[in-house]
This record gives sequence, structure tokens and C-alpha cells, in this order.
Amino acid sequence: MNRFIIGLVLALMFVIFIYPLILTLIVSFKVKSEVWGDFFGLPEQFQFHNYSDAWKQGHIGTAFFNSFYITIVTMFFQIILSAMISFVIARVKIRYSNVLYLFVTAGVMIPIHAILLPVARRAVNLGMSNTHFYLICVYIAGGIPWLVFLMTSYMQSIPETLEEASIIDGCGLFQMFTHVTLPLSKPILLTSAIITFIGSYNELLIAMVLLNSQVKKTIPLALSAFVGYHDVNFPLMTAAIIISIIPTMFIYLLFQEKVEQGLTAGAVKG
Amino acid sequence: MRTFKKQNPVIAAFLLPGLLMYGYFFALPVLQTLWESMFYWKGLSSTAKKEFIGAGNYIYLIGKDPYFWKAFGNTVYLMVGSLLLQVPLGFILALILNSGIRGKRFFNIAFFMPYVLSATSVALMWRFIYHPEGLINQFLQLVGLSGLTNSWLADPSTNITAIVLVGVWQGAGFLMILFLAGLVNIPKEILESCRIEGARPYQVVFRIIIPMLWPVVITVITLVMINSVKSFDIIWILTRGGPFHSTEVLTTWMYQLGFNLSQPARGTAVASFIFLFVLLLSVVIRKVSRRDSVEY
Repeated sequence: MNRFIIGLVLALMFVIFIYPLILTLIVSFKVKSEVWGDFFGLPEQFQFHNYSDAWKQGHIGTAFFNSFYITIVTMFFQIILSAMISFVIARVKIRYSNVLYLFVTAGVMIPIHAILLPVARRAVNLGMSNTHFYLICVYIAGGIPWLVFLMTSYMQSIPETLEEASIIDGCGLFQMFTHVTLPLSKPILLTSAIITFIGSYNELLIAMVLLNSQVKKTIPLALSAFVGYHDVNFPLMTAAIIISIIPTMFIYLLFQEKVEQGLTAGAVKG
Repeated sequence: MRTFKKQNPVIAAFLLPGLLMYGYFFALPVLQTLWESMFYWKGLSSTAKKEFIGAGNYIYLIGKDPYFWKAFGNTVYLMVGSLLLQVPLGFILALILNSGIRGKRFFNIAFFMPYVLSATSVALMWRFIYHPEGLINQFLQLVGLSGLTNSWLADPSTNITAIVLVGVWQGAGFLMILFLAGLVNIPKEILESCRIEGARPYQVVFRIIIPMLWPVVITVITLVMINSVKSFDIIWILTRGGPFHSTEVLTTWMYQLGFNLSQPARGTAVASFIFLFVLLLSVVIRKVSRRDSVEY
């Protein structure tokens, strides 16, 4: 009896969680008139051109490249800069390292809404509104608190013996960082990469405030352009959704537990 | 490791790039927001004359702004709704997955998947689901309940709840993972001995599992509350705060004031309010929940 109830709930939940995705996939292959006509049915003929239409007319193609470029650059610098700060806090006993740690990780508590207006105004003043460069800078800065928080605690948990040995062998600070600490921190670097990738690839609000031209738009911006009150082209829109979620889905299916740990890491520690 | 005392330039080279980025693009803007919320000006450019008005913007928001309280109320509704629905659902999913079912990994992926997708794409999918001719209404017609069909996102009596549900759908799997991580730490012997002693399942859940998971429960509650206050994307894509401001929340109202209604001073005050509200919430929850976890 108990088993039966659990199985039933599980099946129901599975449908609720997965059907919206499947429906989106099905609609993305329909012609516009089919969407409401045979709602639950499969498409008469699979309209693969919806995808190329979304790619070109929906500007998902441009947005795809923009998002990838922005995400990769953000990821790279966020990780490097955070690792360097964390390394000093965790390993080099400098004065005021506590103050430094608090100052940087305080950002974890702060919602991005608290930076939005000054950041947007500064972009205008610097003549850098609508540039990817400025957006990337804001993304990098916004990610540093989380990553320093995670990396510092990870690096502190690595036994110091290897690093001490490297000092005896005459390693400088820089060599110790690149040859000992970083290689030992690989797991947290991968976690960080996942957090940053998913975070900046999915980010809407800051991009919305800073970017305004079609050619500069990121994926979430291009997607939000499909929102219209009249006559939304649902096959085109759903095709765009499917294209846009492939990278994150792929990364999740590839790394599974690593992604789950990464996205919940802050929560568990905090 | 005090051997590095004489390497100050190297240490500086390690710290400065990151600190400058963080300072200039994050810490400074935060302080600016808090400070400038006490000034009045119009327009986005820096040439705008700023006039010091102290608490003026806040007084305006509380007393005169037509939608501030509406937005605040909706934010609280979002918070309470998510707490009531998302937390129990995440917990139940975790209990089910932890009960030794087959295909645990498969269901785990299915439930967590929405969380890795962007809120934008999730909200777009749900626009389709809530559409007057969309999934929900089609389903109601199919089972002969066409009387219940509704224009879910347009009707002010349902739209804010509809928004809550999208958040629940996207976030329940996230909470599930948090609960699962806690459940793993409960020794199987305890649950086993409960069963032998004849404890009913609900007794085990409420008397044993929840007390032992207390730290996780607190974390989850804190996260859900703060994330509700911060949520923007889903609401923006689903309704833009409309129709007629019926789904306005603090974040959308801040955006409207700051970027569409050229009232950046008031938008800045709302932004500061969001920040302080989030801070207050996490402090209060921490104070209220001062109860150590139970260990057996």
C-alpha cells in the first residue's frame, strides 16, 4: 500500500516536472496553426525549419555567440581572480586577512539590485553602455564574493604539508600558487566553473539594463524579445527555448552530481 | 607560513586585480545606492543635479507612491506562497528519493532539471502553459471542467499565485537536493528502530527526521525567503508586473522607477529597501531559529 502511494506520487511528480519540457519540444516542431488545433498531438510533419528561423529571425544565433563569449571570458577571469584572493587569505598569513575576507564575502549577502542603478549610470558616463566589456566586468565582480567564499574554505581544508615542502624546495609564492595550490584545488575550480557558467549564461537583469542593441544581446534577452501580448509565434519561441537550454542541460547531464553540489554549495556552507 | 613577509609586491599582485574589480564594480555601487537613496534627481546621467533630501525618497515611497505597498505586499505573498508550497514539496521529493526507490538518479535529474534552466526560458514555457488556450485550460476542457478555465496571468485574483507556482516548479528540485544532503546524515539504525518500535511514518517524519534536519530546514527557509524577495526574471517575463500593476513586486517596481519612469532616486530607494529587507530577513531568521539540531 505504502509502496503504491509512493509510486503514484512519484509518477505524478515526474509528469508535472517533465511534461512542460516535452510539450515545449513538441510545439517547437509544429506549424503555427497546429499549436491550438491539436494541442496534445504530435506535429503532422516535423518543422525543422522552426529552428533555423529562430536562429536567424529570432536572433538566437547572434545571441548564442554573444552569450558564449561573455560566459567564457567571465568564467576565466572570475576563477583566476577569486583563486588568487582566496590563496592569499587561506595560505599567506597577512595582516587583516580577516577584514579582507569579510569585505569580499559580504557581497554574498547583497542582492544585485543594490548595484544596478549606479552601475548603469556609470556605464553611460564612461561611454561604455551597450558594450560586452563593461557587462563582463560587472559579472566578474558580482561572482567574486561567492567564489572567494567557496575557494577559501576549500583551500583551507587542503593539508599544508605539500605547500610547506614546496617552500623548502625554494618555490616562490607564485610558483607555489600555480604548481601546488591550484592543482590541489581542481575540484573546487570545476565547481566554480559550473556555478559561473550557469549563472552568467542565464543572467537577465544586468544584461537587460546594460545592453540594448540587437547585435549585442545575450540569450535571455533574445528570448525575452519573444514576449508579446498579441500573436506570439509559439513554434518559433519554443524552438528558441530549446536551443537556449541545450548548453545548460548538456552540462548538467555531463556532470550531474557536480552541478547539484555546485549550485547548492553556498547554501550548505552558509 | 610567515616566510612570505618580504614578498609584499607579489601579494599585492595577487590581491589587487580582484579587489579592484570587486571594489569598483560591486562594493562601490552598493555604497552609492545606499548613499544616493537620500538624494533626489531625475534622469540617468551624472550631470543631473542631486539634491539632498534625507529620508525623503523613503517617506515618498511609504506615503505617496501608488504602487510601493502593492509591490511590497506581492513580494510578501511570493515569499509566504513559496514557503508554504516549495519547502514541503522539496521535502516530500527528498523523502521519496531517499526511501530506496529504483531509478533514484533518474528522478533526481528530472526534478532538478528545471533549476539549471534560465528563469527566462522557464517563464516563457509557462507563458505557454498559462495561455488562455494553453496547457492548463486545454487540460481542464479535456477532463470536462471547462467552467474552470481562466486567463490565469491576466486575472488579478490568480496571476500572483500563478507566478508563485512557476517558482515552485523551478526551485523545488533545488530544495530537494538540500534536504537529501541532510537526510543522508541520519543514521539508518534510528529509522529502523523507530519502525521496530511501531512508530507511524508521520511520527517518524515529525519527531525524528525534521528535528534532526533542523539546520537544513533553517537554511532552506532562509534561502526561499531571500530568493523570493530577489526574484525578478520570472515575473518580468510572465507579466512585467501587470496587468495594471497587479503583479508588481519590489524588484519590478525598482526597475520601472529606475529605468522606465525616470525616477532613479526613488528606484534607488527601493533598491536600498530590497537590500536592507534581505539583510533584516537573514538576521531575524538566524535569531529566531537559535535552536540546536538534535543528535542521537
